[in-house]
Amino acid sequence: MVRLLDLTREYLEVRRELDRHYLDTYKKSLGYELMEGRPFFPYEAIRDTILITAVMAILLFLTAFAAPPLNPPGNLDSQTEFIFPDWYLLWSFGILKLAEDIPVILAPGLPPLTPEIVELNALFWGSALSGVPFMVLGALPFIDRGKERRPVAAPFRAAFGIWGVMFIATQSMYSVNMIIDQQYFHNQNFSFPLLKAITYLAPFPVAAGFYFWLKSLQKGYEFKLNRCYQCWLCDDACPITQVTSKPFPKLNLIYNSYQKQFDGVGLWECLTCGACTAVCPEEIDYDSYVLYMRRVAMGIEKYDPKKSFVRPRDHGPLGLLPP
Amino acid sequence: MAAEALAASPAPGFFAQNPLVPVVLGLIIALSVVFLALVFTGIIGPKAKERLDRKRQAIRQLGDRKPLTLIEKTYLILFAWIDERLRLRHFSEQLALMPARDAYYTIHRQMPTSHSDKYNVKSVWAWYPFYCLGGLAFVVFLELVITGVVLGFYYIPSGVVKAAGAPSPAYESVGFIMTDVPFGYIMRSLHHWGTHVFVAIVFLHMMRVFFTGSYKNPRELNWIIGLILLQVTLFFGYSGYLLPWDTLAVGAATIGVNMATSLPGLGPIAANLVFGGVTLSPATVLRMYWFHIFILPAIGTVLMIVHMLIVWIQGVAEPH
Ligand code: HEM
Ligand code: SF4
Ligand code: SF4
Repeated sequence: MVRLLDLTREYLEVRRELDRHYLDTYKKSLGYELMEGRPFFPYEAIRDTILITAVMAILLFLTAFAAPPLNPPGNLDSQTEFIFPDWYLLWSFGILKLAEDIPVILAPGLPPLTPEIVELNALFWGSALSGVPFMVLGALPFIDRGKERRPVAAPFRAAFGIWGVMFIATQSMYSVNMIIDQQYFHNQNFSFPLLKAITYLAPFPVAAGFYFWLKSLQKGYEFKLNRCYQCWLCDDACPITQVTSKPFPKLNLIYNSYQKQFDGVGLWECLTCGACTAVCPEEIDYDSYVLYMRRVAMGIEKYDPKKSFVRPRDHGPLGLLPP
Repeated sequence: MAAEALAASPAPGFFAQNPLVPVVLGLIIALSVVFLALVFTGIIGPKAKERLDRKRQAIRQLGDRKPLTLIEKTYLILFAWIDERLRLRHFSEQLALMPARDAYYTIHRQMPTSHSDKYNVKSVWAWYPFYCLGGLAFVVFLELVITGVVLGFYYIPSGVVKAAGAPSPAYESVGFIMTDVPFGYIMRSLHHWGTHVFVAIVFLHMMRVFFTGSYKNPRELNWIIGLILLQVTLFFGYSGYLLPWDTLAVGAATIGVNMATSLPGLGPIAANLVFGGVTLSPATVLRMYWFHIFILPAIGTVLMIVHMLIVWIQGVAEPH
């Protein structure tokens, strides 16, 4: 125990030394800087108050106008009436019903615990498969290790999530297939295969549509602006900022061309030499933008707020090729 | 002769009956071999990472100073993993030697002004209200605790009936709460609808964490705790609606106990633990009551506090 404590102290020392070395060699300028912040009050406080009030209003409305149900007393000896669980467990109930398609398997058991041969029937498969979503979710952070967090930047993950949510919804829908059959198909039973097809297939087109929608959003400016990682390569390359003594704000192509402002290099100061465009890793065509804004200023061209100056980049059909 | 051969040949085995099983097993084994080969050659896995990873380097250095036992090494790996995520070393620094001002800034954490803030990027702010859902879940949880405490004064956790089909004391006490207890109706109503709102909000909170990619390094631990909280939440709901012991309760309990016992081996043990037997009985009500008012609240409250403490230490992940 004491040894482990000593070890912890030693580890922290060694680790701190390594951190310091790392900062010295790779990130001289970074160091431990205090971050300027935006206080919790009033921004978050206002947001939370509004949302809490709204949810409480919904809750009180339900409380006052929808009676909490109390069915007839339960009878353990003759439970005739068929009962559905609450809505948030319907997905599991749906899996139970879908599992009826899985063939029964006779598997060897572990004799002291189970009989010699165990029958893996629909109920078994349904119960076991109900655990699958939790396993997938548990493994998620260890599978999806990419850096991108925004859905627009990681459209596949977002589409997968939409598929999952849709599948849970359609499973829940399938769990009440009898009621749907009664209501809309007059107990013909032919609706079951149809409902099953919807359950399995409907999530795919929705997820695909979502994927392509997000892909199309990647072309937008907002996306690019958020991508600017302030490498200041544009500022370093620009001949104008070499001779003007403006310590801050620096030239920032994406910000300038998106917000229609000129913070580093003035509109008529720019040489339109294209050096910044050449170095920007996010491929903002700044010199074309400057020329455009000059034409607008002279009344030659009409101003179009939607016009974008991101140079098109071809990443291949699925976006798989490197930039 | 033929009859003898027939008698000697073994009965068709498990694999012959299920030909897909050896194929799947073979695939799994082949994939594992490829995976292990990649790890051993250092293309993926620990060797490939050691160059970049300061926590591995530190452990290596300690091992070079003095050989580590297996326990010590396991402990160090675990400690380093957690330290990487919860910044223990920064806090240990602050507690010991940092000036008070730095400690102040760490303890009174603020939202960082990121460039999305600075440049007024609207697509980030579209997500912004959803960051409130976790806190909202906790508020609704408090509401459920308060109303639940009131209901607890009157509820009788007994499913024993005088005759088949007669209402149990549990059922009657719920009826009593709704008709005779002052404000009892509204307390049960708040508790009932609060559950639905709670489950919905927890699910939406999980969706926001998923879609903003907030479960990624360094927040894996909190995601796992969240998953346990999700199961606690679902089981809270399930055990709760068994308590009135009406037809809905008995129907849902029947499905539950059938699902549990269908799993060979552990299933019946679990059913004995959770439902008080492999078939339903009045004991089921008492079991569900104890889960609902003691075990789940205890686990849930502790985990929620740890969950939010970790958020406080790590800060909230902004989608970048
Ligand atoms: C039982 C109810 C729960 C409560 C009271 C709760 C509470 C919170 C709170 C207050 C936050 C701070 C950020 C925010 O409000 O969005 C948070 C963040 C987080 N929650 Fe939960 N949570 C619950 C369930 C879950 C579940 C089911 C999951 C996922 C499986 C989860 C995973 C996370 C993660 C990974 C974060 C960090 C997100 C970030 O830093 O952006 N939580 N939680
Ligand atoms: S195009 Fe204009 S802003 Fe860009 S480097 Fe040349 S002078 Fe500077
Ligand atoms: S070069 Fe591009 S990415 Fe770098 S700071 Fe300038 S605008 Fe941003």
